[in-house]
Amino acid sequence: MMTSFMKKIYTLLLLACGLQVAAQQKDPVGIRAIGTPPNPKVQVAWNRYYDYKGLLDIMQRMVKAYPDLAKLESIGKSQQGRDIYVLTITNLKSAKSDRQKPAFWTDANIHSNELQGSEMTLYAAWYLTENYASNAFIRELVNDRTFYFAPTINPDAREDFIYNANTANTPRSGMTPIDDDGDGLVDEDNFDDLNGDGEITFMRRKSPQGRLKVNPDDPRMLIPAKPDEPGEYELLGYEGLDNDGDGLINEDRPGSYDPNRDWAWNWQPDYIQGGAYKYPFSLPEPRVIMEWIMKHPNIGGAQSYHNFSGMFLRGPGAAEDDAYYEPADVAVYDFIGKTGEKMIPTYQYGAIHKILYTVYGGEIDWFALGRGIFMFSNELWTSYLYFNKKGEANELRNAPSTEPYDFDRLLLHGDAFVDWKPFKHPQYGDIEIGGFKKNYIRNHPGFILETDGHRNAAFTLFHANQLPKIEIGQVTKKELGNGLTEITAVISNKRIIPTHSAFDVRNKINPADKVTLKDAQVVSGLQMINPDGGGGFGAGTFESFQEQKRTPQTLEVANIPGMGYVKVRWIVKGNPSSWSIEVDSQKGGFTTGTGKF
Amino acid sequence: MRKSFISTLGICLLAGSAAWAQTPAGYADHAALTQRLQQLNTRYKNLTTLQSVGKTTTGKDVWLLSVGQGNPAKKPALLIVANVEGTHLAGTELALQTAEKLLEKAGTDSVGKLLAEKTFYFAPSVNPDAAAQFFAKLKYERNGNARQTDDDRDGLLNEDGPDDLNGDGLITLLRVEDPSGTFTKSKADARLMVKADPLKNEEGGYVVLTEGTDNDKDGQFNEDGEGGIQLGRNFTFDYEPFKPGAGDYPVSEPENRGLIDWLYENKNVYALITFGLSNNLTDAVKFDAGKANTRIVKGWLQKDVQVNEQVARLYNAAGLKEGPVLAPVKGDFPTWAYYHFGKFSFSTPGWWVPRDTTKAARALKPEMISEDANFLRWAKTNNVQAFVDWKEIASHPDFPGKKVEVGGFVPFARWNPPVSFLAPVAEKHVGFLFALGKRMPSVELINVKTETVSPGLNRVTVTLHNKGLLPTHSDLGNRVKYEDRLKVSVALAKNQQILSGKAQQLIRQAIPGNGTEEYTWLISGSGAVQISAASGPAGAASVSVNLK
Repeated sequence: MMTSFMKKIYTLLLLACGLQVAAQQKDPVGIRAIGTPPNPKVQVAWNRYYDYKGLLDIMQRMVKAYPDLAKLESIGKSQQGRDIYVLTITNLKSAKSDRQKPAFWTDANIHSNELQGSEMTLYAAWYLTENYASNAFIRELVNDRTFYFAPTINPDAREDFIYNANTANTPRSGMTPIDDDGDGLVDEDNFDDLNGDGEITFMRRKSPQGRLKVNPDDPRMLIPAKPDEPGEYELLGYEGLDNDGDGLINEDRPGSYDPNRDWAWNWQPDYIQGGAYKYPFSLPEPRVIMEWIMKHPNIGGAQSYHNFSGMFLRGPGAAEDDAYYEPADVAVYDFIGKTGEKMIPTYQYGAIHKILYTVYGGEIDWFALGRGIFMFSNELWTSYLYFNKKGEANELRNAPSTEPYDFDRLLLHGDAFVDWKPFKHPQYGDIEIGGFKKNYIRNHPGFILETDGHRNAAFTLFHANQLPKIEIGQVTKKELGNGLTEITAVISNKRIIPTHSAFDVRNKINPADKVTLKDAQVVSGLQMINPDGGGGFGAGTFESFQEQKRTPQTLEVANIPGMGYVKVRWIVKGNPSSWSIEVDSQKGGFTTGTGKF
Repeated sequence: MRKSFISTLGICLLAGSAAWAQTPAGYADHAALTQRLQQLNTRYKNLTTLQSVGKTTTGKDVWLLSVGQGNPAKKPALLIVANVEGTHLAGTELALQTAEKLLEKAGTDSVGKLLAEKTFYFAPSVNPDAAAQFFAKLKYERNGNARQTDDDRDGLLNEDGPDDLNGDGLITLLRVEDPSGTFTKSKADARLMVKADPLKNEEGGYVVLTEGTDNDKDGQFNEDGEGGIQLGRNFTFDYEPFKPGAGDYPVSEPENRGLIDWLYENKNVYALITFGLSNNLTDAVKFDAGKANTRIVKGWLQKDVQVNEQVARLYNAAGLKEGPVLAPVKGDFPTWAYYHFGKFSFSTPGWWVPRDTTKAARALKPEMISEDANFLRWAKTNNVQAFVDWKEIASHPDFPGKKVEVGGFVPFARWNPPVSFLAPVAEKHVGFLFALGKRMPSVELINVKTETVSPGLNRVTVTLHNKGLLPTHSDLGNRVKYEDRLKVSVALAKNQQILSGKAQQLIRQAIPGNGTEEYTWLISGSGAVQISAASGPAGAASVSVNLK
């Protein structure tokens, strides 16, 4: 006899099988490209960019399709009043709340012109939700961890980049109005889109005094004339006018500060660290992020997507902070960073001040040193991707290189370039305007966007998988006589990120992990301070324990090391036949265990 | 009538016998401060404005009073700041009295002229929540505001504050007789406890702690009491993360954030004077090339040191002599104002215990010389309650069976004398502000010359003169993006055109005191041309020339 409840289940199972059959009929295994979610519920074109509304639309569709896996919240407002969104991906139906699981933070687009990070964060979120049902690894990740995605933390200037005329490098900043040239006027001399194409390209002028000439191999490109050869052109800078009549062109544009110099670790003022504003978190967007991070201490790992030049950067931004990245912490970064180098060919792992330049008051130092979070900055896109070979160009200086011209000619068929056209400039007279479009050089061309997005998302998931995974195991007891029993438990961490970075332990940034023996009459609590053999390296010492005088029932453990363990011990009254232990670790999550002796 | 007189007297007597009378009375709490400021504002309607630049977490206003004629924002200004350190009530009172006295003298020709040309801003209490402890039932020296903090980072908030073990309403010290103690009685004054130095063959014998018990049984005493962020450790320069009271990050508090935001908006402020526990007005800072000439500047630049010396001379000449040596604290306000804001920043405790010049004091042996002992002698001479004599208490839960005594300096007494001592000091500070105000930079355009090269083509030359004796801004200010620099501009009519020279230019480098710069333009066209020079901190000037 089937109960009605069982019947329902049975029907549901049948239905589910039927659906699967239907899916298979629609999509035979042989048609499915490996690695891409089968039949995604949320259809997104990953070969284009999205404006603020477009990003929001993708997130809302994900939440609608996967209400048990995704939720969306506004965590605050930008300077111009736009909501800054965080998309949470985790199994929302599990017994633990998102705050009780180790969490991973991903943000992007802090530099507004660096668009692709936003699409790539959403790709990662999409990949998690669409693979949850079919991929065991992803399912475990989404069950055990919480992912917080903030696809744009600079929405005002993202819109400015997309909708207003800009170069590949602007605005970069946010849109808080600032007097850049110190003349008492604010944002009074922006670029001018003289030819009205929505792009800010270059102005050049034919001149017998010019020292540049046209490259015979690609006439779009200007190259220096030979030392003994007359030139034919001079470059006059980016498209624009002297709007305020001070003899300078385009010198006071919107923004022109750097939101990634507004964070509270080794913050320095603008005259030392160009781009800094008044004091840490004096800009609204970083302040919103900071306040939210402070309220989510379960975040133990993070990545911030930038562009460009193909790097996985860790802190510190400045050499004088090297000592704060202690060897145990650097070992974690090394392992993850070097794996990343394998995952995205030619991407390079290293410390900001060593392989990029010096940064004071940068975001990732505040996460890592201010809050004890293991964080990378991913510098997406590299000139390697033009022809899958190491180019001769210096990535950061945009040194004259024919590669971008060749790539545009051969693979994009000229789509990346605004051809030189004559223009009558009120100050310069007869000039020509032309050059690369704003979405070239730094932002991925469409057909590579999904490829690189996937590799980068995989790196993010690899990092997130290394967040602490706490297990309670090997609980033993020993009778001590006098009606007392000693209970010993091993609490282990099955991943390489510790519950506290070494720097965190030293400075007590986050509270200790609390290990509690429940439902027992605890008279004394102890922690192992020295393992047998000194930790397996032949130090020839025996295991020893130290008593914790306060709150013996709840032992405060400074850290549960990566791929390591701690041993805790309680002396209890009586002779219990079972145990119940709770581990409450801010970055290691909330774990409970019970058992019988 | 008679009855009420008696009851009033009764209250006075009661109050007189109560413990709080032992602390120097007469200081204004936040309500009284607010009232005095509002009264000043009402009384001197045309000379003052009063605004709040921030509210503390308990809702107290951080007041800012402007003193001067006309629109305060349109004139070069000095900002006087006090009580960033909540324990320093004398600073609040000095700032208030200085403002009051300045206003009283507004009718005189000299002060009236100064108030017409300059603005004096006063922020007399930046940390009112900390200062409130002075007026509370339990008095202890507190620099932290009302933010709830976990000073010892154990996950608990305010779980181990001081305890008034002898019930006198004051938190002083504990000394415990203990063979392992590292403190001993001072040779200069046996009431004072000093560290014994084993290298000098000195024996200890006492453990010295602040008055209280180890409430949370963590082995530390009174390490996490009420009193949150110490504003004087919460500014960005040389900020020390993770230090108790320093906050989770710099400028985390509404009080200091409000003050900084106001400063960024009010670009007419030329220099700052802070009443607090550091001093570069008695002796100027010393130039240290190793600290000054690095990317992260940690020492005053050479030219700025010279200005500091110049201003310190004015301070001493105002009769404010022989002040104590007090080094700045990491993350404090005056150093922020110079190193990160780029302004001349001067600081002084304002009042200090005068040097003992008696014969007996001059004859003291080196080991008998002690600032603290000197303070106690001064207090005795002036009948000021400064010390709670050591007295044994019956028992202490953390030191069973040991002799425990409570005693020590009366909280706040060291830097906050009875208010009556401050009036003459405030008078001298009015003199100092007057002297400083007179020497502030002030621009004029002189030696205006118009040469007609040919009809319709003129060469115009002017000299921009800083008639003040101080530079137009600090040398460090040359580097600061947000410094309001002098702008020289030429307003042209339609038919006029500049052929040489710029229609407007910013003067990046400061012009020194009594310094000049010359500007020349070649202008075509004819008629009147207006030339002007202006910046917030150095004032404005303009001249008109006629082109032929």
